[in-house]
Amino acid sequence: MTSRPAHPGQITFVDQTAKTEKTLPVAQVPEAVAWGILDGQPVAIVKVVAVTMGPRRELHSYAADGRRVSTTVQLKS
Amino acid sequence: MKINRPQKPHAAASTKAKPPVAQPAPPASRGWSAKGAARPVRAAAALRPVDTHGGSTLAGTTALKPQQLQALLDGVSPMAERARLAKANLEATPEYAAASPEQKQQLLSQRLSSDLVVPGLVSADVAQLATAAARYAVTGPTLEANHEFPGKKTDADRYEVLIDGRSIPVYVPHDGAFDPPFHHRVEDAAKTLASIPAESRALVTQVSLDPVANPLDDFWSKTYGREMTSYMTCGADGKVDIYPFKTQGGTEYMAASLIHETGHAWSGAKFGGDLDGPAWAPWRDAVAKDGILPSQYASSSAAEDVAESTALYLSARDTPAFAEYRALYPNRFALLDQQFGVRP
Repeated sequence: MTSRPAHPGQITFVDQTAKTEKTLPVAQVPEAVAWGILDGQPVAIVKVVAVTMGPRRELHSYAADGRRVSTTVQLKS
Repeated sequence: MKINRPQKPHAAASTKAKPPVAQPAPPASRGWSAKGAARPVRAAAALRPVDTHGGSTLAGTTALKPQQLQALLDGVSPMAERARLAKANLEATPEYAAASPEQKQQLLSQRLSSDLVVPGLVSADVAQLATAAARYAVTGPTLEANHEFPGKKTDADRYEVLIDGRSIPVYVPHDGAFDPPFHHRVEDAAKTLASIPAESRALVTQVSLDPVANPLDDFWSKTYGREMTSYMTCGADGKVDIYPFKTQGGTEYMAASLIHETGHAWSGAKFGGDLDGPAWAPWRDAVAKDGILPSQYASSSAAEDVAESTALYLSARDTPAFAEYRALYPNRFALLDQQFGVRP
């Protein structure tokens, strides 16, 4: 795998259900949140969108070009 | 072909969708801000080449058209069964008895497009999927030392699930230890991969039955303010992680989630990430024209609507209910026909 590109430095976390968002410096975010893989290459995550309804939440991670990098499905604990 | 290593008893998360509950807004003291209001960290704007979320939460339902009502009341799907019951209960009310014909039609339309009829989540009919499953074989395992599962590096057994001439590797911890204890087996993954539509299977390049819970769960709970447990992560590269879980259940959630994911994959590639952008206009128009939602979860955004509609379309495609769903969602299904090459 090639080396990582520079990260823009911040990630926006959107709660689509509550219509809120916040931004965190990448230093405060786990590596596995800040980076993903697209086309076999490391890519910086710049936005995560959470959608919650009832017992289910989906977390969609996006690269700077708007492409979705991963989706995590969560269930109520 | 048999799996060489016997698998431990397993279980899965519950699939039963509960009615939606209102989500409290996170407290402002945690750095959240209402969308559109001033944000504590304005630099965020510079990081947003596209708006991936938009204001695209979908509104409820417009009045059902006669052919939609007919499809529901004459149908064979679980929705149709609920619709007939909802109609019977409505007709027993004094409000309905006193209503004019036009009002009755309106009341019926509202009732049949409500959560009494529309499910919380589209669920794959596992029994139906199984009857149409592709043939598969499982070989292995081969040992891979120090495999990097999310949250734990440990030796792994790699199995190969062979379907339609393609091999999909499935990883499990070599020591068979899972924490929390309930988990899917290799055979579950193989059966699910064989049973889901080919379009969904084509997206999967690897499955990992991870030994530990998602190590990001705490971060997500802190970030979004509600404690939840990860069931599955699907990467755009086709790698699927399935985490162990605390309660016993079935494997149907795996199939439903993978089919749902197909909708995100094709719509993201075709329409992009800006849900309010012009590329998404055809889907938004279809939603507006169809009115009724495929599930309550679909109301959360255009992206979830397309994922849920895709799940419904692909899982019902070879069933008697397909024509009924087409009558209910004609405009969405027309776009899905284009995507999946089906001629109605």
